[in-house]
Amino acid sequence: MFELHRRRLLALTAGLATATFGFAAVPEASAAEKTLTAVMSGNLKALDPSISTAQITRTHGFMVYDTLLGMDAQYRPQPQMADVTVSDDRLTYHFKLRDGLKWHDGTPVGAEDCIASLKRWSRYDAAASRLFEQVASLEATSPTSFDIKLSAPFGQILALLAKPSPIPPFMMPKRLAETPKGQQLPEQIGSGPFKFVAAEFRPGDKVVYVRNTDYVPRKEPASWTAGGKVVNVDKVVWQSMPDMQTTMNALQNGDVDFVEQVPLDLLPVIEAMPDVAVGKVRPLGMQVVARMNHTLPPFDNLDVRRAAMLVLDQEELMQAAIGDPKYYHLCTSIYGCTVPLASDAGKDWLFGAGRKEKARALLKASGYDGTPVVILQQTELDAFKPQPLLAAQRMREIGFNVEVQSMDWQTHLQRQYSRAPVAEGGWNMIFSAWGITGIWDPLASTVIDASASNQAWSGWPKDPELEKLRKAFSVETDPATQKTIAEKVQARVLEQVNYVPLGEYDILAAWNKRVANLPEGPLTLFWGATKKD
Amino acid sequence: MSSPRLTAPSWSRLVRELGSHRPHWLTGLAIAVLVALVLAALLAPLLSAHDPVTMVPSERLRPPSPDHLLGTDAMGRDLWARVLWGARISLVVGAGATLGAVVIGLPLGLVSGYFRRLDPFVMRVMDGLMAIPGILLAVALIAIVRPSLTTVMIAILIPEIPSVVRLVRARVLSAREEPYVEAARLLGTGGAKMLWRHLLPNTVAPLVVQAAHVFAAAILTESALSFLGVGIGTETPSWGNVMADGRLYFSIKPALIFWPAAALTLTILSINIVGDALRDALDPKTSKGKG
Amino acid sequence: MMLRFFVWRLASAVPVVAIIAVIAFGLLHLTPGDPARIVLGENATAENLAAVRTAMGLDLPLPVQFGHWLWGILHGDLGVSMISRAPVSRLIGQRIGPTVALALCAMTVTIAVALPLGVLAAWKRGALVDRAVLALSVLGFSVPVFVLGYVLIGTFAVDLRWFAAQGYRSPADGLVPFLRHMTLPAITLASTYVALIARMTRASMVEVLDEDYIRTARAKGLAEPRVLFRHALRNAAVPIITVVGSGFAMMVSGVVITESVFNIPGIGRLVVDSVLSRDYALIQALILLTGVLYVVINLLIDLAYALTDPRIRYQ
Repeated sequence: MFELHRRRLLALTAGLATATFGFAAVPEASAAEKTLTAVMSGNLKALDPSISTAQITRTHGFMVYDTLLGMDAQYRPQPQMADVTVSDDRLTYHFKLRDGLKWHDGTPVGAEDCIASLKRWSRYDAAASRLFEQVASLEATSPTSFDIKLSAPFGQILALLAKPSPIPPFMMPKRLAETPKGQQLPEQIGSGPFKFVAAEFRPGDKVVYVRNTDYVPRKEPASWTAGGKVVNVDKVVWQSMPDMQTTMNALQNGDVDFVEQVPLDLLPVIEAMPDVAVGKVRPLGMQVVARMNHTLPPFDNLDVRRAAMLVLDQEELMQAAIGDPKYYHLCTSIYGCTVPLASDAGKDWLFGAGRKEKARALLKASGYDGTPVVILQQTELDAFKPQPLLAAQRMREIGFNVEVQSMDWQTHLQRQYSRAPVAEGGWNMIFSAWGITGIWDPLASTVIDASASNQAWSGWPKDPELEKLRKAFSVETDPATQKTIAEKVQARVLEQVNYVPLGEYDILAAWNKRVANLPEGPLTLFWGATKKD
Repeated sequence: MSSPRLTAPSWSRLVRELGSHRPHWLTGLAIAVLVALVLAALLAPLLSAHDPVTMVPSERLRPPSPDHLLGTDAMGRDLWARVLWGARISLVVGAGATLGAVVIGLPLGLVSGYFRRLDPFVMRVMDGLMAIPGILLAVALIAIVRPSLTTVMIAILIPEIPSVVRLVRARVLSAREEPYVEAARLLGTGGAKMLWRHLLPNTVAPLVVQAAHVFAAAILTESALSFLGVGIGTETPSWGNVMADGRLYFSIKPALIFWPAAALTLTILSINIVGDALRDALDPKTSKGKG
Repeated sequence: MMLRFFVWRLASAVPVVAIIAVIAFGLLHLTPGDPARIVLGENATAENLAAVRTAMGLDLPLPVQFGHWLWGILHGDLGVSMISRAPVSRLIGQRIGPTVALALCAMTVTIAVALPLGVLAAWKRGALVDRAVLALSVLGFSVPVFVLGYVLIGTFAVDLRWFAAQGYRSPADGLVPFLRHMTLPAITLASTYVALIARMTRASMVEVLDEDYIRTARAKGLAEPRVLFRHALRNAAVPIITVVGSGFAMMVSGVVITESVFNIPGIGRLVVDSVLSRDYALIQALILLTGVLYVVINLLIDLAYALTDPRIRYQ
C-alpha cells in the first residue's frame, strides 16, 4: 500500500526553486560568546517562581534563584546557601549563610532576606503552610544566620526546605519577598548562578539568561540541586518553538542545542540525526493520573469509583499514549516507580486478571442509575489526548454512560477547578500528569490531599483517616516508620479511590553533540553544561 | 459581435445558457468525484470494517494491511475509517458555512450596493466583523460555547460573510453604472424589481466562484482550528482533526496527513472545477467561443 | 473633495473601532479560564487563585474593569500583560516587525505570481494554458498551509539547506539573512492567495477584454502586452483590489499558522497565545490594533477605487 516517499517528492520541487532563487545558504556568524540555545517543553510567560506551580516557571526559578538547601541524587537534603545544625531536641534549626553570597543587584544576602523569603513561601506552598503551623519563631541571630524554632518536631522540615517541587523555597531580597499576597514579583532578582535579562525577555518567543559572574559555587561536586553550580557558558537562551516538527528541523540543522522533551514516537528519527544525542537529564518521569470528582454523582459513590478504577488498565493506556514500552513503567506506587518510598501496597486494585468482571459486578451492585459521566479531554498536548477516549471506551463496555468533552487547555483548567454540577460547567473525571518530584512522599503530594479544602487539588476527596496518616508522616522522624506510614497511605488512597495512578513515563531530551556534561536533576538544570565551538 | 444588450445578464439568459452548455469532460469528472465523495460519506459505515473512534492501543501507527487499508493512527484507530467518516463532517462544515455566508452575505451586498444610504451602515458593520481576526473570533466563540460541529461551523462562516458582501457590492456598484441598468432606471424600474431583474443576475457568476472559495476556506479553516487545538473534538473525526492528530508524526508516518490532505485537495479541486464550469455556463462572456 | 471623503471615512471608523473594543472585551471576559491560572500553573490551590485574581482586579465588576482599561487607552496607556507584567506596547512592538515583513513579502509573491497568471489565463481563455493555470493555483490553495510549510522546509531547508528551517532575521541584519528566513514562509502564506487573486484577475480581465476600447487599442496596432497590462488590467482593477484588500485582512489566520510552522515571532502567534492564556490586556490591545489596521487598509482600498474607476463617485 501507499506510503508517501517524502524525499522523492521533495527532490522534484527542488529543481523548480533553484531556478527562482539561485542563492545558497550562508552560515550564520558565530558570536564570540558561548550561547546555549534550548527549546523548553513549555513557554515561560509568568515569571514568579515563588507563587507558581508551573514547571517551566520553577525551572526558571532554579536559574535565577538559589535555595538554602539543595537535594542530591539520593534524595538527601544538602547545604546550598546555608549550613544547618539541628538541636538534640529537634526543635531548633540553626542556619548559617555561607560567605560571598550576593543578590543580582549587588547587595549582600542577609538573614532577614531569607526569613522574609521563607514567609512568602509559607503563604503559597501547601506543604510549607503545614510546616509553619508548627513554627514557633523565625529569627535572625546575626546578619548572616537565623534560627527556625518549632513547637513540636517536624520530621520532614529539611526535606521541605530542599524540595524542588511544586513551590521550592527560593531566596530573594526582603523588599521583593514582601510583595503583597496575590501580586507577582515586580523584578527577577535572586542570587542564583544565572541572571535574568529583563530587557531581552520576549514572552512566547525567547528568554535570555547570562552567567552570574559574582556567583561563588560550593566546593562539592554538583548533584541535582545540591553542590557546586558551576556555569560554563556565557548565555542560555530559551527559544520558544510552537511546533514540534519545526523543533525537530531546528535540532537537525543545529539551530538549537537542546530540546528539553522530545515526543517518544519520533525517537527513531532523532536517533538517526548524526550530530544529535538523546538521553535522560531528568531521571524522574511523569505520573499519569486519573481523578474522579468525589463531590458529584456518580463518583460520590465508592463502589462506582472502584468500578471505574478497575477498568483502567495501565498497560494499554501507556501503550496508547507513549507506545514503546522502553519509555514507560507500570507500578502501583502512588509516589513514582523508582523513589525510596515506592511499594506494592494495594496492588490488586490496579493489576491482575478478572478486574473487568469485578468492575461489572461492582457497578451493578452499586445502584448506578446511568447518570452520564463527563470526561474532560484537552486537545493541545498529544500525550494527553488518548486517555479520556480509551477510558470512555472501556467504561462504556461495562455499562457506564460516558460523554467525552474536548476543549483547549485553559478551558480544561477552568472546568477542572469548578465544583459546580456537570450541567453548570462541572465534570466527573479528568486525566493529568504530575512530575514525580511533586508527589514523591505523602506530604509533598498535593494530589492525595483529602481535606477537600481550598488547598486540595481538583476532585476534592474527603478522607479524615488519610489526612491523619499524612500528618503522622510529616512529623515522624524515624525513616523506617515513615516508610510504613507511606505504605498505609498508599493502601488507603487506592482502596478509597482517592485517585488512580496510571504509571510513569520518561522524559527524554535531545541535544547537539557539541553540548556536553548536561547535569541530571529533578528538573532541567543548566549549570555544568559545556559547549564546544 | 457583442453589444451591451447582449452581455447584460438576465435570469432567462442564465437558464438558457445553463441548458445549452455542453460540459467539458473535466467537469464531468469533477462532478463524478464529488458524487463519489458524498456517497462515500453517506455510506461510510458500510465501506469500512472498523469504527473510526475505537482505539486499539496495541495496534498504533501500523503500516497499511488488508485489515487496515491505510494503516492506523497514533491511537490505533483505523485511518481509512477516519478519512471516510471525516468526509461527512468536512463536507457538512463546508456546505453549511457556504450556505450561511451566501444566505446572509448576498442580500446585504445587494442592499448595500444599491441603496446607497444604507451602504455606510452595512459596510461599517462588515468592517467591524473583518477587523476582528477570524481565527480569534472563532477561538473565542468556541471557547464560550462548547466546541461542537455547529459552533465550529458558525465560527467559520461569520468571518466569511464580509468577503461575500464586499464582492456582491462591488459588482452592483459597477453594474448600476451600465447602460442597460441606467436605461431600466429611466424606464422607471423600482428597487426590488431592479435588484431581482438586473443586478442579481450580474452577481451570480462571481458569486459562484466566491462560494466555491468559501466552501474550500471553511474546510481549511476547520483544519486550522484543529491545528490550534480548538476544533471539533477527536471523537468526531474530520479531515482537519485527523490531520492535526497526525501532525506530530509527519516525519515518521506522513500517510496520516497525506490521505486526509489528498481527500481535502481533491474535494476542493473538484468544487472549483464545477464552480468554474457553472460560471462559464452562466456567463458566456468569460468562456470560449466569444470575443 | 477627496480630502473631505478621506476625513469622513476616517471619522466614521471611530465608532466601528469602539464597538469592536466593547464586543471584544465582553467576548473575552465571557470565555472560561483566566490569566491567574497561567500565573499560578496548573496545580494551583483555590486559595492562591483567589488571591491572585483579587490582585489582578478580576473581582471587580466588568463595567469597572472596562472603564479602567478605556481610561488607560485614552491616556495612551495600553496597560501591562497580566501574565508577564511586561508593558503591552512593548510586547506588541517586539512582534509587529516580523508580521508586517511576512505579510508584505507574501503579498508581493502573491501579486507577482497571480497577476501574470490571471492575465495569461484570460488572454488564452479556454485553452489548455487557462485550465492549467487555474488548476495549479487551486492546488496551492487546497493544500493546508502547515502541510505545505512542512514540505517546503523538509526540501529546501533540511535537505538542500538553501534556506533557514525556522526563525526570523530583520532586514536590518542584511538582505541575504532576511530572505533566507523569509522566502519559504512568504511562499507558504502566498499559496493561499494566489488562487483567489489569479482567478479574480482572470474573471475581471475576460470581461474587460471584450470591451470596445480594447478592440480599438488593438486595432490601433498597440503591442499585445501593452494592451493587456496598460489598458485592460487597469480597467479590471476594481474587483482585484477588493480581493487583495480582503486578502490582507484574511491573512491574519494564515499568518498564525505560518508563524507557528516557521517559528516567526510575530503578531499572529501573539494573538493565539494571548487568547489561549486569556491575557485580557494584551488581547484587547491587539484587537484594537488589528481594527485600526483594517480600517486603514480599507480606506486605502476605497481611495484606490476612486482613483482606478472614476465611474464610482462619492457624495
